[in-house]
Amino acid sequence: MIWQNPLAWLGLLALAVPVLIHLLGRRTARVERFPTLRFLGTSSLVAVRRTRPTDLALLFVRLGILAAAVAALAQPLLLTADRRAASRTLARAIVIDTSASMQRLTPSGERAIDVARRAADSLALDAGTSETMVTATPARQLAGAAAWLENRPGTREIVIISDFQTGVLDADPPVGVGIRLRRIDVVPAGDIVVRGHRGGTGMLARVTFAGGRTDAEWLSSDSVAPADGGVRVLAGADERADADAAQHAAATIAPPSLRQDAHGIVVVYPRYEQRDDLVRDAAPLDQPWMTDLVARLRTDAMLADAAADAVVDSAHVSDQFLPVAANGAGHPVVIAARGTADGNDLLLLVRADAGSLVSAALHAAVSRARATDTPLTELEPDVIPDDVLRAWEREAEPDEASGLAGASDGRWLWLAVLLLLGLETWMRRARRVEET
Amino acid sequence: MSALSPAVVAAVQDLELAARLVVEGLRAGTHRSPFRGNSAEFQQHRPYRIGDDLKHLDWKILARTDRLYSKQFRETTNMSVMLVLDASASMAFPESTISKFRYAALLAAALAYLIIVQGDAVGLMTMADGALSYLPARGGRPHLRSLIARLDRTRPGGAWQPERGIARSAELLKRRGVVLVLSDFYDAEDETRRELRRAARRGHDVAMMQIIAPQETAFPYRGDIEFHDLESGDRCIIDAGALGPAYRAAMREFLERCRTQAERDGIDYTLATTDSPPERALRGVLLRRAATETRRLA
Repeated sequence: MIWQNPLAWLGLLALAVPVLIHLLGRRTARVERFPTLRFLGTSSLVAVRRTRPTDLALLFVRLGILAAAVAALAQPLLLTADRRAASRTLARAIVIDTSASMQRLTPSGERAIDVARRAADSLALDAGTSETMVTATPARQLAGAAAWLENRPGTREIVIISDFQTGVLDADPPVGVGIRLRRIDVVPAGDIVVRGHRGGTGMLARVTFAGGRTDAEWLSSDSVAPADGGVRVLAGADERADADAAQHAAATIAPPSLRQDAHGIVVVYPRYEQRDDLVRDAAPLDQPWMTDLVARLRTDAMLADAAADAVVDSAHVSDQFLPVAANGAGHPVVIAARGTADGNDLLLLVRADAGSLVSAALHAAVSRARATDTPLTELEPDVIPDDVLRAWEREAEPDEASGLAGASDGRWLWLAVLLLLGLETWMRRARRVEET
Repeated sequence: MSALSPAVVAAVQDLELAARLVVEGLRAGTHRSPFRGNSAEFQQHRPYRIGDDLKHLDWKILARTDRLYSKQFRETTNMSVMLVLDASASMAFPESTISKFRYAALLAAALAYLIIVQGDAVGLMTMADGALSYLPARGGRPHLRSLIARLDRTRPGGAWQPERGIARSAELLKRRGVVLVLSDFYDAEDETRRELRRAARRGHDVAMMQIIAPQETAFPYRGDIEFHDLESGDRCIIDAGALGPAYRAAMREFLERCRTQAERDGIDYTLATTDSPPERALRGVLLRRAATETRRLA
């Protein structure tokens, strides 16, 4: 038995109230005319009332009501075998650092990111339940990982797999969960390509490490920026013009992404002729870059504001699809899925008009999500020392009540309170009948 | 005729009528009046029983019918019965239903009716508010109406002074008679006993009829109650629920003491509660009187 709200026991102080009432309460004595007082012994006169509570049975019932209510407020939880088993489950949130430095090679010749993903798979197998999160900024992902763990039963921990360059962990670790840091050793050799800005213009830099020295060769953005920012638009014939206008409007808000990658993003408008076929063949998101991008889109304030006022129908959306933005009524305006028709594209299914503000905000949000700058620390080979990492690590403590939030056996005590209240009412009425 | 409930009797405002109802109910039973005596004046015949004096055998009937009948005679000198009625304030209890005083007055009226009808004399002594009220023992219907009217007028009040009431009654009975005291016998217990014994020593047949309300024995009270003594006006606040067992034990002990002392002193004792039919209480008195008569004749 555990008490999830032990502070409620302070309410037991209220037990003094009925005791004082029964001790000090001076009910008006009923007057009875009687033939003689000779058989009424004076030893039973009610002068001792202040040292002896009246009507002990009623007092005990009232104390029972208060005690049961206080115990119910303390939220008792009986730890049955099933609940104990659930509390021993390990929930693990695995954060993989996909920053540019993880493109380096490990001593074995593999890329650090590949080793990290393999390690994540292994860690996921060990856990009862796990979630792998891929991010270029692990520190910013910690809050999301902690939020995912919050409602998981059992022991909870966050595992960060990274090369732990300086600045990777620049945020306070979340409390209440264990922290494990798994370093992937890299060798400071080879070239990596990073992206950044120089003089307000998007640039690519080829970084070379050699002999403890870092060299960066900046390339012009014009030679690498795709004309359309890498986003395909599928729209009906009558909404093509609106979709183009939205893309142009978005370009004035956020410049097209400079990133060159193989990830395909497809924006599908409502009146696209094969939209139903795409939706039918769509699959849930299962690739880290997709969830990473959707997560960034969800945090885009402009997209959220535009979607809030959008008018969409309230048709049910399959649970397989991930809502990206929703309107004020909670109906999804943009949903995400994985397209399977021609490769693993990220489908962004727009449910608002192609000419709406949502359409333009979505294109701008996609550009911003893909245009995250690489921190300059990625250019440095310095890593956080092992002793510092060990200091940050924290053992996961089993929390028997975790994951059982909202579960309480207090309802039985509330039932007892109701029964006792009924008994107390009956006793009071019986006393009144006796007195009359 | 079934027994009249106290509630029915209480509903009859006319005390004489109520007394007649009680007596008629009593006559419907198998008991005969114990106040009947020998008389020089012929009253009736009855079948001869072994032991009857042969001088009372009616030879003429024997000769005509060959059956044995004894003659009964009205007593030339009436038996005198003095009813001593406690009209103290404690007899006014309970106030919500038929009170002990009303019940006792009803029994007294019924007894008076019965005695007068038998040709005997009956008197009344009451004490209310410290003042004695005396009606000498006489016979006849007019006297019965006077006595019942006196009973009807009397209101309970004040304290009971048995040494005055009982002693005066015993003195005023000119010859040997019956002194019947109707009271709850709460007050002046020793003085009451002393006067009853003194009356018995004077040669009177003494009987006591203790009238008690059921609330006095059951004590059905709960909670804090301020009790007011009907006679003294004293007050006390008690936890009635806690005190109940001790009170009931004390009450039982008191009633038992009254009964044993009466038996020890040769005094007829009858206990009547106001929730019992009055003719039942009256029948109890008469049965004891008959038993006493039988013992005395034996």
